[in-house]
Amino acid sequence: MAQGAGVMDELRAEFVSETRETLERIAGALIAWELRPEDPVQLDEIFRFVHTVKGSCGFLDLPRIEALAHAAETALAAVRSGARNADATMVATMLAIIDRLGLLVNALEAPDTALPPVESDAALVTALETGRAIKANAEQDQAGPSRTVRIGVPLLEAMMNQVSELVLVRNELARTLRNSDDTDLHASFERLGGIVGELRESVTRTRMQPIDRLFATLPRLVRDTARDCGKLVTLKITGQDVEIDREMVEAIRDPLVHIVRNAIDHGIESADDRCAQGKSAQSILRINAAQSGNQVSIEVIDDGRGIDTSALVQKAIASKLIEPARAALLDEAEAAALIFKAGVSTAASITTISGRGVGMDVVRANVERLGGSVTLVNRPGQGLSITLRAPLTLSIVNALVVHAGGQRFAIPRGAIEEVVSLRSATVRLETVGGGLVAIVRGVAHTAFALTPLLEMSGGDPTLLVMLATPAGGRYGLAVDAVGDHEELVVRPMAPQIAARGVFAGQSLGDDGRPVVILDPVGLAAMGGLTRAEELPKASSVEIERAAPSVVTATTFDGRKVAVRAALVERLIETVRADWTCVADEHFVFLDGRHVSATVMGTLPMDGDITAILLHDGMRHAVFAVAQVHDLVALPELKAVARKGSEGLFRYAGEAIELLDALAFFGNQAVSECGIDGPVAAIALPESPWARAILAPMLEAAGYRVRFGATGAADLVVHLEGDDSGVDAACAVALERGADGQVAVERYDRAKLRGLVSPFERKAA
Amino acid sequence: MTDLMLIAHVGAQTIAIDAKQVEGVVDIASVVPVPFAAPHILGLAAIRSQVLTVIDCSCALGHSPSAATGRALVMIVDGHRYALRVDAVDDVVAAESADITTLAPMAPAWARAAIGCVDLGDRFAVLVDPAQLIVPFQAIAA
Repeated sequence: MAQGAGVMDELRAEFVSETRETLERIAGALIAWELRPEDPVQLDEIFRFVHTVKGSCGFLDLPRIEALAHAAETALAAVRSGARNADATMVATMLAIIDRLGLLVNALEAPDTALPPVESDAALVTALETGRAIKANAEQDQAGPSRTVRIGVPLLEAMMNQVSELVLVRNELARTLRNSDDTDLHASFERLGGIVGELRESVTRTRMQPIDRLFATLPRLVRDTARDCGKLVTLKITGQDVEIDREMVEAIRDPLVHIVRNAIDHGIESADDRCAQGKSAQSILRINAAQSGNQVSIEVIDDGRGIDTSALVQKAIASKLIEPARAALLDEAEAAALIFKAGVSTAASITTISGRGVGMDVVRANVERLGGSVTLVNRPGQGLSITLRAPLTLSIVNALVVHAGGQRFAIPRGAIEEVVSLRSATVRLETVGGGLVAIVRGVAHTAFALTPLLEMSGGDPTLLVMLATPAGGRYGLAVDAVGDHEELVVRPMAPQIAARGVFAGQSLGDDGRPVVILDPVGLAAMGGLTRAEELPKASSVEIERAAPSVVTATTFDGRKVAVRAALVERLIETVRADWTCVADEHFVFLDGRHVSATVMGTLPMDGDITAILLHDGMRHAVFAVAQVHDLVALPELKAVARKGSEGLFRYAGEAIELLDALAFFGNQAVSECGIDGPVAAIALPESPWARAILAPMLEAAGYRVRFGATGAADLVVHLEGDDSGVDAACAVALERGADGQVAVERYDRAKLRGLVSPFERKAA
Repeated sequence: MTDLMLIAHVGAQTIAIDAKQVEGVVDIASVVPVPFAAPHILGLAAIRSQVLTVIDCSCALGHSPSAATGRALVMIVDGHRYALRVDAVDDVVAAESADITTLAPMAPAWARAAIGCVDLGDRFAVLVDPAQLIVPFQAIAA
C-alpha cells in the first residue's frame, strides 16, 4: 500500500512537470490561435494538450482538473469539426481555463496554496459552453502562496532606519568598549554585534523580491503588442527567481518594456515575411535574467531581422548626427550602436508602439543613471540581443570613504579599480596644460584632484583612487586620505543640492555623520571627460579651426622645441633599459611592443626617460625629451625651410622650434614653406592626421585650410566616393581602402606633396 | 480662521510657521557642508539617524548668514527632510493670519516667502511658507 502511494506520488510529480512544460510551450500557440482562429496547426497542439491532461487526470484521480480539461476538449473538438466558430470571447475563456489548469496543477506540488473556489470552475465551463464572456473579475481572486504577509513600504523603510540606527549604536558601543578589559562584556558584545549584522542583512532581504514581479506583465505586453503589430510571437522567460531590490524592479520596468516593444515592432517580421525567408512563422522572444555578483543582467533576444545598419547610418546622416565621411569608417558594431543616439529610429513609419525617435537613447540614459549599462549584439537577418545590466539594489551601496579638503565623501566600491599612493615610486601626478595626468606604472590616465573638482579649497592629495565607470571613462581621483569601507543606505538628496549630477545620494556613515556619495560618472563629466565612443557632432557649416596649441619641451641636445598638441596622446615615463637603437633608429619598448622613437641628442646612460607619445589616429610614435614644459597656444609662426622643422615661434622670451610632425611618423624629407594663396577644404573626418599633418602641409603649399564645407574652395581633399558637392577646380580623392580606411600612403610625403601641389594640377 | 502657529525669530524679525508643517524643533550640533550648494544651504546634518538638509533662513530671507549649528525646525517638503535654522523658537500660539500685502511693502526675499502676517499683540510676525525658503532665492530672481 505504502509502495503504491509512492508510485502514485511519482506519477503525479511527472504529470505536474510535464503539464507545466507543455503549458509553457502552448502559451504561444494560444495567442497565435487568437490571431488566426482558422489555423488548424495551432488548434491541434492545444487540443492535444487538454486531451492529455484529461487522460492523466482520470488515472490520477484529479476530478477538478479533469472537469475543466473535459470542457475545454469538448469545445475545441467542436471548433475542429467546424461545428463551432472560434471568436475572441471563446479564446479568452479558453485562456482563462488553461490558466486555471496551470494553477491547479501547480497546487498539486504545494498543497498549502490557496485556490479559487470550485464553484468558479463551473462558471468558466458554463461560459465556454454558452459562448458568453466571463466576468472580468473571475480571475482576480487568484491567491498566491499563503505563507506571505503584505507589509507596507513605509514600515519597511522604518525598519531599515531603525536597523541603521542600531548599527550606529553598535559602532558607538564598540568604540567605548575598546578601553574595557572585561572579557565577558566583550564576548557578549561580539554576539550582539553579529546579530545586529544578521538583522541588517535580513531587513535588507525584505527589500528583495523575485524579478518575476517585473516579468509578470510581459506575457500580456508581448501578446498585446504582437496582436497590434499582427505578428506571431512566443515569449520564453528564464531566470524568474533572481532576486532584486523592489525599487530596482520599478526603475528598470520602463526600459525593459521599451526594449521588448521595440523588438516586436521593429525586430520581428510579419509571419508572411518570415515564411518568405525560410524562418518559422512563429517568432521567439527570449528574456533571460541572471545574477552575477551584485549585478543583474537581463537579455532580450529576438530572432527577427536585426538592425539594418546601412539604413540606420543613412538615417543618422540625414538627421545630421554623423558626418558622411565619418560614417564610412564605422564598423558594424559601431554602426549598430548608432541606435543609442538621440533621434534615430529604424522604423520606416511611426506606429503607436514605437518609432517616435525617443527610444534607445532614453533607455540607455535611464539605465546608466541607475549605475547599469545597455549593450547590444546585432545579427543582421538573424535577430538582435540587447543586454540590460543593473545593480541588484539601489538602496545599499558598498562604498569607500575618502577624505579631501577636510571633508568625507563616499565612492561606490564597484567603480574603484585600485587605490595607489602618490608617494610610490611608480605613481606620479603631473600637470599638463592646467589639467592633471596620473602616471601609474608607466601608463598615463586622466586625473582630477577631488577638492578643486568640487570647487572646495585646501586638500593635500597623497592617494590616487583609480575609477572605471560603466560608461567607459577611466580616470584617477587624487584624495587626501582613505577611510573605511562602509555599507551605506543611499537616500536621495534634496533637489537643491543634487542638481549638479555629481552626487549619487546621501547617507549616514558608520560614525553617525552624514556623508555625500559621489557619482563617478557625474564626476567624470564634471571634469570634462566625455564618453569614449561619443561621436563628434556633424556640421554642414564651415568649421573654424580652433587656434592650435603645442607642447613645449627641451631635447637632449638642449634645443627648445614644440610639437603640435593635437598629436600628443600622453606623456610616458620610461626607463633607459626600455630604449634600443637599431641602425641609427631608436625604439622604445612600450606596452609590450617596440615603437619607433625620435631622439634629438644623446640619451642619458641610465635613469628615467620622459617621452611624449604621439598618435595621429593611426600610428604611434614616441619623442624622447629631457624635459616637458608646457602646453601653449601657438603664436605667429615664422616658417623655416629646414629639414624636420615646421617653423619658429617666440614664447616666454625664448625662440622655440616647432617640429615637423611628419618627421616623427614617416622620417621623410622636408620641403620649402608656403605663400599666401587659394583655399583648400578638407572633407575628411577630423582626425589628428588631417589636422596636424595634412592641414599644415596644405598650408605649407600655400593654401588657406578649412574643414567641413567644400563650397568655393580651390582644392578639396576628400575620400573617394564622397564626391557629392565637390565643385572645386581641383579635387584630390584619397582612396578608400577595402577596410574603410584611407588607402593613400599617408606617410609618403613626396606623394602627398604631389597630390596637393596646386599649380601643376590646375595646369594639367 | 484660527490656526496653531509656531513663532520663531530670524534676526530681528519674528516669523510664524503653520505648526502642522513642523515635525519638531531640534538643535543641530554639526553640519557637513555640501559642495556646489547654494549659499542658503548650510549642508547635511544627522538627527536620530535621519539625514536632513540644513537651510539657513536668515540667508534665504536676504540677511547675513547665520552659524551652521543651533536651533532648527524640522519639516518635510516634497518627501525630503529639511532643518530650517532659525535664531530662536518662542512658542506655539493659536492665532489668526491676515493678508500681509495691505500691511507693508517688504524686501523681495521676504515678499516671496511671506503668505500673511500674524498680530501677536505686542508685535507682528510674518507668516512664511517654508517651501519658499528652501528654494534658492537667486534662482527665483533670475
